[in-house]
Parts: sequence; structure tokens; C-alpha cells
Amino acid sequence: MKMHISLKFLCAGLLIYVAVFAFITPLSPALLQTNLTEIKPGSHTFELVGYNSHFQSAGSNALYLINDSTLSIPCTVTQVADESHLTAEVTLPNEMHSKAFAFVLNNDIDGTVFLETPLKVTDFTMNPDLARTTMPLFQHREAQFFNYPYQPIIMETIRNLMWHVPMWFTMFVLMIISFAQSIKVLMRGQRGGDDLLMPIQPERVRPHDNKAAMSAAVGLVFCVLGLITGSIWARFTWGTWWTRDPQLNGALVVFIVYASYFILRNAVTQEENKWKLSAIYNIFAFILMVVLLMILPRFTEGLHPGKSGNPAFSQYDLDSSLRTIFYPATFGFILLGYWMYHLRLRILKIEQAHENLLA
Amino acid sequence: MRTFWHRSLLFILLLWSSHAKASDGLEEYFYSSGKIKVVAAVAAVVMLGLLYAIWRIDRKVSALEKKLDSKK
Amino acid sequence: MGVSTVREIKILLQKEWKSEFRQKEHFAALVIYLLSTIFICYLSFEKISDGQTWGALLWVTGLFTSFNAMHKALDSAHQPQLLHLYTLATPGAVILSKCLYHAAQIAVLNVFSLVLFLLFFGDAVLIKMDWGQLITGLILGSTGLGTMLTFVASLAQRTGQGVGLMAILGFPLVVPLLITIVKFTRLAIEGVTWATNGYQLMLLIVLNVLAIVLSYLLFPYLWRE
Repeated sequence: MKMHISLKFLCAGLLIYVAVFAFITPLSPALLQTNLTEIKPGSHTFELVGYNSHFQSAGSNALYLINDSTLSIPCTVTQVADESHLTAEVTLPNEMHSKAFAFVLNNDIDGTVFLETPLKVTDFTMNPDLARTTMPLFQHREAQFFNYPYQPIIMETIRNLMWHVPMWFTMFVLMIISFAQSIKVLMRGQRGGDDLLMPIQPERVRPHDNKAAMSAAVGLVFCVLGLITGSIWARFTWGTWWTRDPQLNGALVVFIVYASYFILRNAVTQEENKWKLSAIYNIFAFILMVVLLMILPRFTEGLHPGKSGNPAFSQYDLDSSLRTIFYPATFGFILLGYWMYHLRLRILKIEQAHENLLA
Repeated sequence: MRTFWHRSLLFILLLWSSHAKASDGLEEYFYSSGKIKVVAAVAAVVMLGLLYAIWRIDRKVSALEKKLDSKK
Repeated sequence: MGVSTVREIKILLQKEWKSEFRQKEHFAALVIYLLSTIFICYLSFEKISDGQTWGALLWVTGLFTSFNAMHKALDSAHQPQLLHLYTLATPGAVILSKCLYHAAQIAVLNVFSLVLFLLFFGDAVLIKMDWGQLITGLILGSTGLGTMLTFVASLAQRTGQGVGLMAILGFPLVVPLLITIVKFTRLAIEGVTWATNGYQLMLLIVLNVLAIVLSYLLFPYLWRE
């Protein structure tokens, strides 16, 4: 299939857009931490640290300490040091619902931001039947600018979503092409039926073998890129370059399998044999990839989102601001992968035609 | 060349120190000082370079294909 | 796959068994290999104090023995009587009989290896073990390894490169099976219930079925010109 020039421009445009907006889009405002660690009935003064927040430029900050999402205790903001630091005061009653506390801050720039923090609770009377107080009367507001969602550990590294995940999608697309072409090789490269004595026609098989090999080659490049971006991300979020995650280790096995596919191709000298054997191995490799990357991680405890009780991928996906960059990134990289594959294929065809001319 | 190595070393050190705590790390520095625009520009330039390279290969391959067609 | 295929498989298995019996030194060599591997493990580990190592070591030994068993399979395919039979039978019957035969062979070797493990390392770490689960795992692991490696061996044989290529092609392909079987064995040693080990069991069955179906479907392309 020829790649239309408009698709090439689309690919370039999408990737440039992603390169720029993946970085300049800020993270949404959040509350980072507080120096309040222990609470008991009475008055407390504490400091609150924000992230990307606008405490100072906002007109006023409404701050509440919320207990068990039913009891809200207003805090008085006594001093705003700068955009991300403020000091506040709160007076706590004797009775509480439970030991779960969270801070809620609302202002007209940052919208509503939460901080769930473990607090050491002493001297309160726990009364689950305590009357609910009316929730603070502010509208739940979104922040006023386009931004990424704030995730506690991931934080700024969420940008890597735009590079890491599309690599795997692209690899999958290319491997599916490789798989389909391998099946075609087997179908066309088979002597059988009525014409058992008919020789195999190389010109009917070779194009499919070329396609299978070249898409696997480009897919392998994207596999390596996915592993590298994943490793860097793992260092920042999980604290190590490499770890015991089924998807991570599965990806490495996929890399080894497709690398052996090329070793197999180089080991067989007779051409018809090479087509057949590598096509068979490719089909095995593809099934293995599906098992390793899509089935096994669901049954093994791991660290990737969306698997075995970890927050699902759709959680990020639902965020509309992430989607406006993530979808173009995925589409752009798939187009880039297809383009690269197409180029490799054309170069190979030229080489083969050149050899034919010389022969 | 020496300055190049010095700068790379500095960059690696910066990178190293950045994951201790996200709040006073590299990202915060880039975002608070507006230098993230430089980062984005560099990423865009890298991307452009990559796309230009592929574009050039595409052109060359097309030329070769034409040459081959005329020979047949 | 009709009655005739079943008959063909039966005949092929008989022939395979006869040829094995005629060349007893092949099997003897495998047993010696197994014995020396486990003895080396015994000497180098001295004592295994946790179930996980016990199970993992059992399967690593099993994996290497299976690969070795396949080397013999590559050789025995050159026997003229068998080759003649293969040309008469349907490819499906050939691959199924080969898979069955090697699965059985590997299962026997693994049972033997289990006995040697018990002899050398004792059963101190196996107090809580569920024997039913262990034996099930042993059988399913052997069939899985047997099927996959038989197929890879036939593929490697066709390349004309033989043994060296087989290891390169085979090792990554058996990784999922190996991960699952090691985990299954570990849980069996920990003495969990069948229900807790259900996922692993299901995965093992799925992998076995996948290997058999893929071999059955693809072998015709490999076998005949």
C-alpha cells in the first residue's frame, strides 16, 4: 500500500504538536504537603505547600479540613507567603466521625484541590453517628487553564505517557502486519491441492516475505524505544531502572523472540525454505507476544497501571486534556512506524531489483 | 569538546539530583523559570530533524525507483 | 481428524517406542545427564531452605533435560524406518505422535528428576506441599515443554543448522510456560488450595492447548515441500 503524501504531512504535524505540547502543558494545581502531623481537640497552626498553585494571585483561599467526607471544619488562612505557601489556623471540636482527614482548598484560579494526608489522631471521641454538617458552599471548580492531571508519584513524569505508550501501540500494529503477511506467505508458498507438481512462484511469495520481515524489523526498533522510555520512567516512579514487572519482562522476551526471528532468517540460506520457516516462527512469535503482553500481566502481580488492581489506564484516558495529546501522539507514532516500514520495504525492493539486474 | 563533556556531566548531575524530591527538582526549575519552553523547543527540533531525515530518505528512494523504472 | 489419524498415531507411537528401545543408550545418556546435573546442584547448593528455590531448580533442571532430549529427537529423525513411515502418514498424525511421545518422555524424566531431588535435597521444605498439584503441574509442564520443543526441533532441523539454532529459537518461546509452571509449583509447595492456584492451572492448560493447536496447524507447512 502506498503511503499518501498527506499522511506524511499529518504524521509530521502530529509529532511536532506532541513534542511541543507534551512539555509545555503544565501540571494541574495540587496540594503537596503540610507540616501538620498530629491533631487533637483545640487550636492548631500549620503550613500548607501547594504545587503549581496560585495562592497569592487568587482573590481568596477557602480552606477546610474534612473528616470522613461528612464533617467539614473551616480553617482560617492567616498568611499567604507566596503562590505555593500559606499558613492557616484551625480549631477542632471534641467529636469526630473517623480517623480519615483531608484538606480541601478552593480558589478562583486553581479550582478545588485536595490533599489526603495521614494524621496522627489523639484524644478525639469517635462518634460515627455524629450529625453531618453541611458541606462548604463552594462550587466545584476546574482549574482555569489547560493542564495535565496531578498524580501523586507520577507527577511531572506523566508526560512520558505521550512517548512510552505509543511506542508499544506502534510495535503492535507493525507486528500485526508482520503476522498477517506471514500467514499470506504460508498460503502462497504452499504446493498442494491439484497442482502438487506446480513449482512455487517466487514472485508471488517474496513480496509478502519482504513485508513480514521489514515490519518486524521496524517493530523491533519501537520495542527497544518502548523499553528505554519505560526504563527511564521506572527509575523516576518505581525507583529502579529494571524491576520485577510481568509486562516489563514480557516485553524483553518479545524483543528476544523477534531478534531470534532475524537470526533464523539469516541462518537459512535456501530462499524458499527461509520464507516458510521464518513465517512459521513469526506466527509463533506473535501468539507468544499476545500471551506475554496481554494475558500473563493480568494474572501476575505487577506495577503497571491497569493490571492486577493498579489504577486503570482508562483513569488517565478519561482526562480530556491528556486525551488531546495522547491520541495525536499514538496516531502520529503509528504513522511514523508505518512510514519507516514502508521506506525499508522500498529500499529492499530496490536492492532486490538491483541484484536481478546484475544477475 | 571539553565544554561539551562538562555540560553533559552537569546535565547528568542535574538529572541525578532531580528525582530525590519532585518539589525541588529539575522540573520545578524548568517550569518556574519558563525554561520549559526551551525544553519543548529542543524536543521539537529533534523531532523535526528526525522527520527531515526520513523525508530525505523518502526522496532518495523515490529517485532511485524512478531510475530503476527507466532501466527496465 | 478421523479414526484413521488415531490409528496412524498409534502405529507411529509404537514405531517410535521400538526405535527408542533399540537405542537404549539414548535414554540412558539422558538419565546420566539428569543425575549429574542434580548432583552438581546438590554439591553447589548444599542445602535448600525454601520452597521457591526448590521448585525453580526442579524446573530449570527439567528445562535443560528437555532440550537435551530434543537433541536426540533431531538425530533419531534420520532413521530410515521412521522417515519412511513419516512419508506415508498425514502430517497431523506425525506431529501429534511426536508431541505425545516427547511429552511422555519428558514427563518420565521429570518424575525421575523429582525422585532425585527428594533423595538429595530431602523433603524438609515440602511439609505443606499439595502432592496432587505438584504431579498435575509436572504433567502439564512436561506436555507443554514436549509440544513446544518438538515443534521447535522440527523447525531447527529444517534449517540445517541443528542444535545451536534450536536453543536460540526455543528458549524465548518456552518462557511463558516456564514462568507459569514455576509459579504453579511454588504455590503447590506452599500448600495453597486448588482454587487459589486456579489461574496458574488455567494458564497452563491454555498454553498447552495453544502449543498443540499451533503445532498441528503449522506442521503441514513445515513437513512437506
